[in-house]
Amino acid sequence: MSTLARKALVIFLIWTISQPAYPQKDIVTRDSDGNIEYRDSDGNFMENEAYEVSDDGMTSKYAYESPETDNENKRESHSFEHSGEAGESRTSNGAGGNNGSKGFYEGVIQKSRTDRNYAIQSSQNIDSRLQKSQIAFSKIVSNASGESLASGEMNQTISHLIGSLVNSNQATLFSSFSGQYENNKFKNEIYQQEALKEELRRLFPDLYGQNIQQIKQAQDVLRNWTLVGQLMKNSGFDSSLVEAENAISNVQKSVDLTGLGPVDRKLMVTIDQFNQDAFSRFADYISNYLASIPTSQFDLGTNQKIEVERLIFEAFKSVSQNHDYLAAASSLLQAKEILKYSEPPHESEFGPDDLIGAGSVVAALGKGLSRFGSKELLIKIVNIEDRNAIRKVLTEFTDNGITVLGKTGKYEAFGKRIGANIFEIKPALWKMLTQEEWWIINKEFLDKAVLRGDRIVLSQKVTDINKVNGFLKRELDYLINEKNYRLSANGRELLK
Amino acid sequence: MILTTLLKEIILIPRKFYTLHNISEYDLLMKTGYFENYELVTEQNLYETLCQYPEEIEYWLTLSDDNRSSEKWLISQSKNGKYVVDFFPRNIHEKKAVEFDDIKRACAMYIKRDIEQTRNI
Repeated sequence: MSTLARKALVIFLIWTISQPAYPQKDIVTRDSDGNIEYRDSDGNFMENEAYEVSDDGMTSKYAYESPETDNENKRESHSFEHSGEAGESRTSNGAGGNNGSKGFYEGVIQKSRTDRNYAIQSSQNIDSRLQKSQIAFSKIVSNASGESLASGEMNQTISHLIGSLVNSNQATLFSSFSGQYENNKFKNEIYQQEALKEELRRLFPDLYGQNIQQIKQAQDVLRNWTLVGQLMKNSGFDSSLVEAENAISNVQKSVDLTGLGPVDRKLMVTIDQFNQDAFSRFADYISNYLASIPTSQFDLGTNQKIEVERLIFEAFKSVSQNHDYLAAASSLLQAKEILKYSEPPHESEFGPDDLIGAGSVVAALGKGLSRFGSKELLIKIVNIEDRNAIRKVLTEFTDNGITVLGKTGKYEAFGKRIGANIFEIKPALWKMLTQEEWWIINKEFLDKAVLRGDRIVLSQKVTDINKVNGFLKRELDYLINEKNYRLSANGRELLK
Repeated sequence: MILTTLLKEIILIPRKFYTLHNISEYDLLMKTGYFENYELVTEQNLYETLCQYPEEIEYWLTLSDDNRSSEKWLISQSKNGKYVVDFFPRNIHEKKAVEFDDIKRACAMYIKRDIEQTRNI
C-alpha cells in the first residue's frame, strides 16, 4: 500500500471515529446546586438535569425538563423521588409542575425511550465503526505483509484508533445513559473491561497474536543472554540486560491492559540493539579472557590442551552457528575450570599466541559481525589451520623492514623476490570472507607494518592515486589519510 | 533451476559482493545453485551471458585485482593490449597463461576457473 493511500485510510478512520454518536450540546452550564442546563449553538434551551439529596440524606430527587415542554405556556417539569428504603418509592410533582403521576411517568418513559434509542444507535455506530476498522485493518495487513516496518506502524495506528473509538463511544454512552439507569444493561455490557478486551481480540486476532508472539520472541532473545550475564558480572552488562527486560515488561503490561497494545518496531529495535551490543561485549570478553590467562596455564598435558581447544571451539560454534549463548558461556566456564586446576609446566606444541592471537582477531571480527550481521565468520577462524594462517600474516614478518603493496599478480611476486612482508591469505579462507572482513584483517596488517616502521614500497609506479581502484586504493587512502603517509615523488613508495 | 537464471546469478556475483558488503564470494556462489549444477556451466554459455551483461565485466576485473589469496586465477591486460588469464603463482600445477583479444572470452574463462576454485575449497 502506498504511503498516500495509507495516510488516506488513517484520515478516514480518524474521521469515522470522530463523528458524534449523540446530538451535540454546544453550551453546558452548571449552577451552584449542580443543576445542569444544555443549550444548542444558537442558545436555544435543550434540556436540563437536577439532582438533589433530601435533608434526611435518604431521599434523592432527579428532575428533568424536556425541550418539548420548554416554552412559556406548556413547560412541564417532572421529578422522581426515590426512597432509601428498599422497595418503597413514591412520586410527586416537581416544584413548578402541574401534571399528575401519569404525566410524570410519561415524561420519564419518553426520556427513557429517547436515551435508549440514542444508546442503541450509539451501540450500532460502534459495531459499524468496528466493522469498518476491521475491514480497513484486513486490507492493511494484506497489503503490508512482508513489510515489517509498515505493518508495525499500521498495527500501532490501528491499535490507537480502536482505543480512541471505544473510549469516545464509552464516554458518549456514559454521559447520556448510565447516570439515569441504575441497572443499565448497556453499561454492564460495554464497560466490562474483560469483555471489551475479548471483543478487540476477537476482531483483531492477527494483531493480538502477533503482539504476543513478538513479546515472546523478545523474551527468548534475552533468556539466551542470562548465563552470559552471570559470566560477565560487574561489566555493565547486567544493567543493559535489566533495561531490555524492562522495555519488554512495559509492553507486556500495555498488551495486558488494552487487549492489543502498542507492540511495534521500537521494541524490536531496542532488543536488536541490545543483542548487537551484547554480542560485541561477549566477543571482547572472550578476547580478554583468553589474553588474561597466564602463559604457564597453556602448558597443559596433551589431553587437557585438546579439551580446552575443543571447548573454546564449541563456544564459538554455539554463538556463530546456533546463537546459543547459554551453551557458549557454559563451554567457556568448563575451559576456565580446566585451566584453573592444571598444574604447569607441561610440554606443549601450541603456545599461548595461538589462542591470544585468535582472541584478538575474534574480538575485532566480532565487532565487524555485530555491525555487518555476518553469522559465519567466527566459526571460520576457529578452525585451527585458518587461525594459524591469520596469525601468521599478522604476527610473522621479515627482518628487512619492507612491506610491499600493489596490484594482485604484481605485489606478491615482487615482495617475495625482495623478501618483504606481503598480505596474503590462503584461498579457502579468502573466499569465505566478506568484503568488510577482508578489510578488518588487511587493516590490522597495515597497522602492524606502520607500528614496526616498515618502508611501504609499491610493486608498480603510482603517479595519480585517483586513477587507482579496488583494494589497493583503499589501502593507499588509509595510509595517507589516517596514518599521515604521502606518495613519493617517483611514485614507488609511501613516505612519512 | 533454469540455466539462464543460474548463469545470470553467477555473472552478478561480484556486483553483489561489492554492493552488499556482508556476504562472501563463497556464499554468493553457493546461493546461485552452482554447486549442484556446475557441470551445466561452461565457458561458452558464460561468454554468451556476458554478451548480454557486458557491464558486469568491470566488476570481475576488480574482484580479480583485489584478490589477496596465495593461490588464485587472475585476469589482466598485457602491454600489447591483449587480455591474459593466468594462475598465481605461475609454477604451481604447471598452469599456463592464456591470451585473448576479446575481453568477454577472457572473462568467461576467468569466471569458470575462479568459481571452480571456489567450489573446490
